[in-house]
Parts: sequence; structure tokens; C-alpha cells
Amino acid sequence: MDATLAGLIDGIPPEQLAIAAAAAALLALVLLVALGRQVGRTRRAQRAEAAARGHLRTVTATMREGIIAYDMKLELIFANPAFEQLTGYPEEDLRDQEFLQYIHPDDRPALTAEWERLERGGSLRDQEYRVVTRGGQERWSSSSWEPLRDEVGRQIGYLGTEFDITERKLAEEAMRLDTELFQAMIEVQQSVAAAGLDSRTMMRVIADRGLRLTGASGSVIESIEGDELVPQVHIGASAPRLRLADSLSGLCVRTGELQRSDDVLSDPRIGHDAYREAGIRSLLAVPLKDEQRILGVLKVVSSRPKAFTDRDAKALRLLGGLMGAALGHAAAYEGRQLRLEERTRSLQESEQRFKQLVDVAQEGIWVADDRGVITYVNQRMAELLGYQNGAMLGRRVYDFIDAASRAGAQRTLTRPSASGGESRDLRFLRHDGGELWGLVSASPIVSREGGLAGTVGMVTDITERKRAEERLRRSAERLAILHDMGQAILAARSPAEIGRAALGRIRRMVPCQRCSIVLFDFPKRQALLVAGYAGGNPISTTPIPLDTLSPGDVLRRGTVRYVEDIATLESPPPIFRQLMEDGLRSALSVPLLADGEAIGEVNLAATAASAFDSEHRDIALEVAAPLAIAIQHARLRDDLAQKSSELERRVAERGAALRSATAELETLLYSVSHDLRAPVRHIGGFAELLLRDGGPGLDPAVRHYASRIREGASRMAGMLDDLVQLSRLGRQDMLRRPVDLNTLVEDVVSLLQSETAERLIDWVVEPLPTLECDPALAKIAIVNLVSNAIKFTRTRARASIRIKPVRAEDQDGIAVQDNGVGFKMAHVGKLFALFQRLHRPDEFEGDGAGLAFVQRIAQRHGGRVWAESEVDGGSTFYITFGGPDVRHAS
Amino acid sequence: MLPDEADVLLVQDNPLEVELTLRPLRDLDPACRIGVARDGEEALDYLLGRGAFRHRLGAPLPRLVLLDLKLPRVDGVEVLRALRASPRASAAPVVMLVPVSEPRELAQCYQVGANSCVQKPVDFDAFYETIQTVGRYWLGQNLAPPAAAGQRGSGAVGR
Repeated sequence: MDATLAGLIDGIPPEQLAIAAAAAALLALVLLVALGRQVGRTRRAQRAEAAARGHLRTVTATMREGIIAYDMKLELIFANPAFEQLTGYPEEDLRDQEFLQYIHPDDRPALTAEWERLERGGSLRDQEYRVVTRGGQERWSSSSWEPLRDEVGRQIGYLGTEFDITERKLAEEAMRLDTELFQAMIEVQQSVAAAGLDSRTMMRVIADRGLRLTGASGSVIESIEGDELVPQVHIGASAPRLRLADSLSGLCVRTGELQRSDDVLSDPRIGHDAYREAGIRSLLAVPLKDEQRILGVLKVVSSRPKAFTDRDAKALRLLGGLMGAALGHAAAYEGRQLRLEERTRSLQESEQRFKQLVDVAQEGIWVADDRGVITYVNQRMAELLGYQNGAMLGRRVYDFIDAASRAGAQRTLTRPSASGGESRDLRFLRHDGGELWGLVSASPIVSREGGLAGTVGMVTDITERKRAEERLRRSAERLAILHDMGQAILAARSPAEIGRAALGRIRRMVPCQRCSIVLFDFPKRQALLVAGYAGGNPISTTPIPLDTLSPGDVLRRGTVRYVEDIATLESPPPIFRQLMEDGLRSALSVPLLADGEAIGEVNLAATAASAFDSEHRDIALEVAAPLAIAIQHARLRDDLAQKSSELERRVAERGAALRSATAELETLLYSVSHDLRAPVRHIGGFAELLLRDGGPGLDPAVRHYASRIREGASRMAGMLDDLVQLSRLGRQDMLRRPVDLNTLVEDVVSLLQSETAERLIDWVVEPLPTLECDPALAKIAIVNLVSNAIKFTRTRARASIRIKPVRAEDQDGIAVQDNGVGFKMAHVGKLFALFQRLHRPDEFEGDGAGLAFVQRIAQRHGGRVWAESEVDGGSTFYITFGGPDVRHAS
Repeated sequence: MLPDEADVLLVQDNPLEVELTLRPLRDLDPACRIGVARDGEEALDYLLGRGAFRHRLGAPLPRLVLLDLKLPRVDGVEVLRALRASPRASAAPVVMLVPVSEPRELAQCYQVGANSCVQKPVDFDAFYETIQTVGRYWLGQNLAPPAAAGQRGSGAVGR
């Protein structure tokens, strides 16, 4: 009987433990998966931001545009290397800066004023502003700002893309200056042609032009009188008479060359104080010459040192050249009353000079009449469009302009603004069929009667700039693709969704009539269509054999395949025959590579032969790279989801098995504890009766054995009571409510203290938490722990028992620490098992049920028990009740 | 096992249990008349004077019925319910002997009219003491209902 019972009881924990351990291991795996999702949910914002940061950092690392991102609090998330190149600020420096501090303070308000649109989820495109670099230089940037979003589309910040357009801005500025210069020249030309102007008026016009073109604070035209230079016209600055001998103007006359002084105060060539008195710091002077003689000097001055650039010098030189001729002409006209022929000749000379001037210009120049018919083009203009010079004459200027630009051209050319500052990008058609992008500005030619006699147009070749802009546009598009793919990965989209998005992008950038994405299944030798379009319509097919596409080995190699003309293939694979039937001629396939393995390919086909060039291939490759990663990611995710649901199913099965096993064990425990009571009583009862009724004559051996049976039965009786108790702890309804453990422990200690009045025990009770638990069960657990502490310190002259709070795995509980006999930590595993004892009965009484009760109570609360000890070094027992201190967990 | 008149009726199916329960009662009062019914039906037949015990109809009720909770065929609670429902024997003092104190079972026992419930300890010494305490009280201190007290209602008057 004893053996059977022991066998039954011994048999319970290991089996239960084995099942529980297996279930716990599975559960841990599932929890990891679930936890991942949970963490995703609770820390979504941080994670999305971190993912966005990591993802963007990778994709923008090699981009040529500066990329900068701020979070919603306007703190820097990151900036890419190109941004550092643009601004000179490394990312860490930007982190210490104010928001948008790299933008020129004058230009910043214009951007921040619009910021509200970004906050509302809109975007800011084509913002042009100056950037102040770390070195203090100004650079121009064309930027666009977009909301930065996480995978569910929620805005988490702002993303700025900065294109360096400094070169373009400089070119435009130069263009503007050239246009002004050219206008000035036309005006001069017209003045000369009109010949009605007196020379003084003409000089005033020139002086005014010089002032405007160079940004000077004053301009003067001086004529030579004896050994002096006498101002004839002056604007904006006082103009003293100067000696030829010791002035820069004099030097200009003597050498016949332009003279420039960046700082008159320290210029040894200047021997007078007139400038100092007038507050002038820098100047430019050019001689005014007709064919033979130097007539005077055109001079611009500024109150700033180093005020004039090479460009200003060029402008002044041209003005001076034209002016000289005009002056000579006017002087002659005024002086000698030129005959008509002479006047005509002079005029022609002047025109010739003008033509020479414009013929060597860097810009293309044309003159057209009021109907737009070209009457003159310069050499450069003809070169730009690839025509013989004469071939353009007599044709309308619009004939040379691309149809798409024509309307815009007409607006620009028929309504030329008086200022001439307006310019426009137009696409010209070259004679060889190529394109030329020109920045065009037009000026009116005003007839003597004041009407529009025609236009003078000026073209700067900006084809390179346009192409650069196109490249920028493409790289912006590429960034968009990378961003799409990244978002697709983050948003956990299916391969089909990712594929459709990618094809949409490709179709926008590569002209093709059919496109598809297939994935290879090498084991099944099949290709699976992920997404595809024929014309604009989505297509779908069942899996097709890999051989249809190409022999399997070729596909495995993951190379780009391009067939310029399918019709020329000798033995095309079946898919090409099909394409040919559908009227397609060229085909481009780029591989989808994941970890170096070809997992599929992107196929493009077009109706024209040789439809694809290397750029198309590059675009397809660029899309394919992130696409492959995104698809691989999606597949892994599907795989993981499948595995995790499989795992969940298995856990559910094991859980059900565990529950039924537990229920069986509970039943067994119940029946053992109830049904064995009577037989055990009978054994002990009859042994007792044998002893009583046997009387003094009973055989001593019989008496001995009967006593042993009595003792055994008595012990078993105690164990059965324990089992009943344990079974009841497992079945009893729980009444959870907040329990102040201070009060509870106080009760327990005072109860037990009264039973140990003869012992010397130092009690220390620290402040304890208030926990959600069943007060009756918690009390049983604590009584057991404290009783143990009292029991196992019995051998100590002065016992010490400390009760203190403990916190583990977000749960609060209490610890009972004693200075008792302790135990070997090697046995800690047995400690909480039922009827396990670490001491002999003659050392310490008890049947080893108390800690099993404590453990059962902890388990029922979702808490746990554990212990620390060393032999002769005291023990500490810990218990938690499944939750935090309710006073803190509001 | 069942005398026509008994001071105590023990309802218990297990002969070993019967023997161990009789001992403390006998030791208390060797003259005590104890009847033993082996199951619930027999107990009811005896107390209600029916079936094999028809001749006992109208005989005095025992001063104590020791009714085990777990019985074959008709269990202790059903026996008690039938007893309390009968006009003839409703007043019999019944002490329920329960193996362990299960609150649900105790509640049921009292609900159907147990006079007392006592847990049977597994340890024999404790069991012996318990049974003697019960016997001492119910056969000694406790005043049994008068002979006619169990007879209620019209049936009793008519007898």
C-alpha cells in the first residue's frame, strides 16, 4: 500500500513537469513571435522612425542630391553624405544646429512660412533658396520638401531633397547681364541709326547703362581737353576734372586699355585725392575710341572696394567700344553735316562693328522682323542649331523650335518685356534632328515711330543643364522607387502588391508595351507570375514551365538578357514566339537577385526593335534590386507566419493535452486523498486494536510490528490530509482583492510569535507592497514560509528572521530571510515538490508539504516561488503573486 | 445486525469501518444497543418500518443515527432527505460522518436537515476519540425527541 501510494505521488510531478516544460518551450517561441508584434505595436512610433532612418540612410547614401530629414519635433533625424557635400556640415554638426539653420537667414522665413502645408501632409516643391555653407559661402539650392511617413502612412517627420543649382543660378545671372548688355548695345545701335540724338543724350544713355550693368554707384564720361579729362556726363557721383598725367583715366587714355582699381586709396597709379574726398573706393575705366583716336573715357565708380568683377569689365569694355563708334559718328555728323552717302557708310560701319561684336559672342543671337522672320543670325546661333549661316535667314524662328515649346516661345517673342530681364527655357530642333535646350531672352526693336519693328533674341545653350536636371529628375524617381520598396517592406505587403508598385514605376520610366515580374521555382521547374501588364491591363497566368522562358541554367545565372529583335533569333524559346505573335519585337530581362541567388526576373517587351538602351537597363536593374529584397522579405514573412501558426496550432494541441492531463491529475489527487482515507484508518485502527486487546500476554514481536504498522498508518494519515489540502488549494475559488501585506504579515508574525515565546528571535519586517491576491491563500503561503523560517532556525541561539519586499519580472512579492541551517542549492529543484524533505525527520519534523502548498498558491496567482540558500548560511524564500504593487500601478 | 430496538443506528457499508466505529461506542457503553444498516435503502426500511422491517412500524426511533455520507445505492444525503420527508421519522437525530470537510457537501447536508456533521480523521486514535465524543454527547447529554415527536401531521394523529 505504501509503495503504491508513493508510486502514485512520485509519478505526478515528473510527468506533469515534462508536459509543462515542453509546453513552456513552445509557448516561449510563440511569445517571441507575438512579442515581436506586440513590441511593434507599443513602440511603433520609435520603431518606424528608426526603420525609416536606417532605411533612408541606406538608400540615400550614394545619391547625388542632399537629403535631410527632421522629425515632427523638428529635430534632425539624419542627413546623407551629399547633403554634407552641399553644405559642408557633417551630420553631427547639423544635430547641434537649429532647425533649417543651414539656409540663408534672408531666405529661411519664406520656407518656414509655407511649413504649415507640410504639417498638413502636403508638400513644398521647387523651393529655391540660398544655403550658407560651413565655410560661409552662399550656394543656391532647389529643394522639395515632403512629409516623411511610416509604413501605415502616418507622418513621422519631414524629408527635404536639395539640388545644388548654384551653377545654373550663376549662368542665369550671367545671362541676365548679357541680355542687359545686349539691350544696351541695341539701344546704342538704334541711337546711332536714329542719328537724331545729340551726343550728350547718347552719352547719358551710355552712362546710365554702364551704371546699371555694373551695379556701380556712379558713372562718368570724360572727354580729352588738352592735358585734362573733362566730365561731359556724370550720374550718381561728383566728377572733378582730372589730369591725364596722374589719374587712372589718364592711364586709360595713354594705354588705350581698360583700367581697374580695386582700392583707389592704396593704388600707386592714382596721384590725386579727388576720389578720397568723394568717398570712392573702386573704379573701372575704358577708353572711348573711334577708328583712329581715343576720344575719352567711360568710367564707373563705387564706394565699396573690390566692387567690380571681370564680368563688369567685359560689359564696360563692350559699351565703351560701341560708344566710341557712336561718339565718333555723332561728332562727325554734328561737326561736318555728313553727306547722305557718308552717313550710310558710317552707319554700315557701325553695323559691321556691331556684327563683329555679336558674331564672337558666346550666345546665339538672331534678329527677326515683326512677323518673326529671321533677318539675321550670328555665327554662334547657326552653330548651335547646326545650320549654315545663311540657311536660317528668311525662315520663321518658330520653325526651329520644338512643337511643345512653340506656344511658350510665341508668348515670349511677341510680348517682349521692356526690361528684357525675362527669360524662358525653349527646346530647339537641330538640323541633325538632335535637341538643343536654350535659355532665351528677347528684346524689342522699336521703330522710330515707336512701334515694334521686330525682336532680337538671344540663346544660351543650356542643354547640359537640362540633361543634368533630367538626370536629377530620374534620380528623384529612383529615390521614390527605393522609398516605395522600403515602405512596401515595412508595410508588410504581399509580393503581388510590391510587384505591381514596381512595374508601375518602371512603366513610367521605360517605354514598354508589356512587362511582368516572375519568380522562379527551380525545384518544380516553374515560373510564377507575380504581376504583369499588357498595354495598360493587368495580366495573370498559371505557372509556366521555366523552359518556356529560357533554359534553366541561364535563369539560374541571374544575368541581364536583352534581345534587340526577336525576329532575328534562330530558335527562340517559346515565350519569344508568343511575344512575336503578339507583335512585340524587343525584350529585356533583368534578374531579381536575393543574396546572390536569382529568385526571378523582371521582363520588359516593346513593339519596336531595339527599344531599350543602357539607361533603360539601368533603371530596370535599379528597380529590380530593392524589388528582389522586398519580395524575398515578403516571402520570408509569409513563411514565418506559416511556421508561427503551425507552432500556435501545436501549442494549442499540447495545451489541450496538458489541460486534460492536469484535469486527470486533479481527479486522481482528489480520489487518492478521499478514497484512501478509510483503508489507511483501518490499517492503523486494527493495529491499534491488536495492541489494546492483545494485553500484556501479546508476543513482543507482534506488539513491535503492530506498533510499526500504527506509525506507518499514522504518517500516511498526515500525508492524506496534506493531499486533501493541496487538492483544495488547486480547486478552491480565488477571491482576488487588494491585500496590504503589511497587515497580513503582522497577523502571521504575531500568531506565530505567541507559539515561539520561549525562543529568541529578532524579527525585522520591512515596508511591504499591497497586492491583488486571495487573502486566505496568501496567508497560508506566508504562514508556511514564516513557519519554515522559525523551524529551521531552531538550532540558532539567536534567530533572525527578516521579511522584505521583492520585485521580479514586473511582479511584486515578499521574501522571508532567515539565518537558519540552510540547504545545498543543488537540491533547490526538489524543494517545492510534494513530500520532498531535505532533512531527516529526527532533525526537523514535517512531511514536506508546506512548500508545495506555497508553490501551488503562487501558481494559482500567476506568480512564482524560488529560494536562495547555503548550508549553514540561512535561506531566503521568495514569492510573487502575479502582479505589481497596486499602489504604484495606477 | 439490526435489533428491533436500537439506541444507535450506524449506516455504513464497509464492514471494517463498521467494526472500527462500533469499538469506541462499545467501549463507551457496553450495554448500548447498536444497529448497523449496510446501505441507505436498508436504513430507510428500518427507520420507516417498511419492506423487511414492516414489523417495526411505530417502533421508537434510535437516539442517534450515524449516517455515512458515501453509501452504495442511495447515498447519505438522499437517505436524510427521505427521512426528513417522512412523517414517521423526521425527528430522528442524524449525525453525518463525512470523509473531509468539503464546504459544498456540508452545506448540502445541513440543507436537507443534518443535526450535525463530523469529519472522520484518518488517524485511528483521533477517529476513536471523535466517535466517542459524538456518542457521549448524543447518547448522554443530548435529550432525545419524545417518542411521538417524529410523528407529525394527520398520519401521526390517525395512528
